[in-house]
Amino acid sequence: MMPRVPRLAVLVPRQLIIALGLLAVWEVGCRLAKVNPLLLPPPSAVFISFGQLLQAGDLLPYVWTTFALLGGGMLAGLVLSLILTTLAIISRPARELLLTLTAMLNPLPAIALLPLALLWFGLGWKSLLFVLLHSIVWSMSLNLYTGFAAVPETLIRVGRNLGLAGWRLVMGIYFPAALPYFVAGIKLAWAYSWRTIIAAELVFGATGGHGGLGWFIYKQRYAMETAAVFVGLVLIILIGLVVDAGFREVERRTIRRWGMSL
Amino acid sequence: MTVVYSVEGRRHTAIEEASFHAGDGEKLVLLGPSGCGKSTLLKTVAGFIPPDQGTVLVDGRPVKGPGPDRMVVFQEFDQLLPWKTVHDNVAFAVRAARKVPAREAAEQARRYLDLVGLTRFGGFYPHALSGGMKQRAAIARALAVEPEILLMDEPFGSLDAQTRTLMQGELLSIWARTRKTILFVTHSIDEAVLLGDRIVILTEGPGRVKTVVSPGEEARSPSSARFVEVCREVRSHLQVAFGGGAG
Repeated sequence: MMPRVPRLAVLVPRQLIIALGLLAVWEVGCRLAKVNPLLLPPPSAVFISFGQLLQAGDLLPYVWTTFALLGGGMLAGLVLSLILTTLAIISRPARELLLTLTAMLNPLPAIALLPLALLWFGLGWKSLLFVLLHSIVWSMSLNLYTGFAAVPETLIRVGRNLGLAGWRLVMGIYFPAALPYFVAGIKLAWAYSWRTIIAAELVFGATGGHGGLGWFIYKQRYAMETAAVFVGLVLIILIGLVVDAGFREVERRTIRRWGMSL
Repeated sequence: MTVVYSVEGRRHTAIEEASFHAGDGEKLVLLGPSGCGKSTLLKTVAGFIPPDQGTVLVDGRPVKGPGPDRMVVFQEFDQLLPWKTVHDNVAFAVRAARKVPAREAAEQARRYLDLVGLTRFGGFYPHALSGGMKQRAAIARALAVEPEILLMDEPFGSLDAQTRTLMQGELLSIWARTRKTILFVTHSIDEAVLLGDRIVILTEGPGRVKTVVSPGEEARSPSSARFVEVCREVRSHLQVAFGGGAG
């Protein structure tokens, strides 16, 4: 019948135990070796700092700033990729252009473009959006293009046989058939852009008065609030875990359930 | 009808003047070894490949492109949409082809899944089915659209011998209940004799009609003397067609 995909609930406990064990080693190590808490605070101090920051309501605006930009960037990147991919499918020169651009620009880390972005767009969200788009568009377009190109000829014929054409053929056959590649593309885009935005915020700080998570870490380091620096790091890890779990759940309900995993 | 292919710039005549006619409710088999253009012929009837000369007529109307009046059952197992259950595959086809209300399409899907013996598997996703069940589902989907003609492109070609025999029997019983006109492509002599009311034997590429054989009702059973006799007759035609001048 259906392939057994372990649910999150089955995966978590063992990993949770390992994580707790590591925390215990960290805590005990800090206390026994009397490590300077300005350099490495024990997890208990991080935990307390976390609570204080949450209570003061200081943390969420940073998370929100990062997410708003990330969400906007992902959405714009997706639309841009869809346009580029569509052009690549209908026109041969556009296809060659896209494949060349992708091959050239995909290996270029987005953060390396930040100085240029600052030069072109100045300090502000436009520069961040620029590097975000760079980290999303190329990998996303490549995945979308590969996905459409990999739709089995038989399925396309089945659609045409039923009288589907144009938009109905795209939505009825092409899009769902290419879904595994879309999901892979979105996962990759998320991974790239999440790293890029944190790094960019670290380099350049606040955008229009409100900073993101990267800026939060930078600010806390400046104030020598090392525990709060760790809070920022832990938060980044937690958000990453939650988003990954979300992707896994989406995959479990769609492409895995349908036996379409790549 | 003539179909000319262009492969890597070289024009290759796949079919040269093949002409035949299938009567209403008839099972017409196109027989020939791989490379004789029989699949191309079927794709032309389906409307996927336009003929260079001549026309395909269905009920006197020329075929201009693919359409649900000529439903195809392919050889490939992946012809079912993997993201839809077996039931939804059939219902989707009915709705795409005939724009009926969802409830009516679901009703139709159930009826045709019953017909092919997949009642209990409507809720399954295709990847959970065996090859034989997938082909049955594909047949149900094609029939549920209620086409004028069922086009079958070696639908049992990828099945193991045992399942294939089973499916041939089932196709006969499905046909007995629906009396659908069937155009069936195969390279198996046994299959052709077992299923065909008439067998169109094609010569090697470029494909031409060599001759037409009518097995008759007594040939329906593989153990009958008539079956053996017709098989021998068909084989001798094929040997003349493909064996060169040696025979």
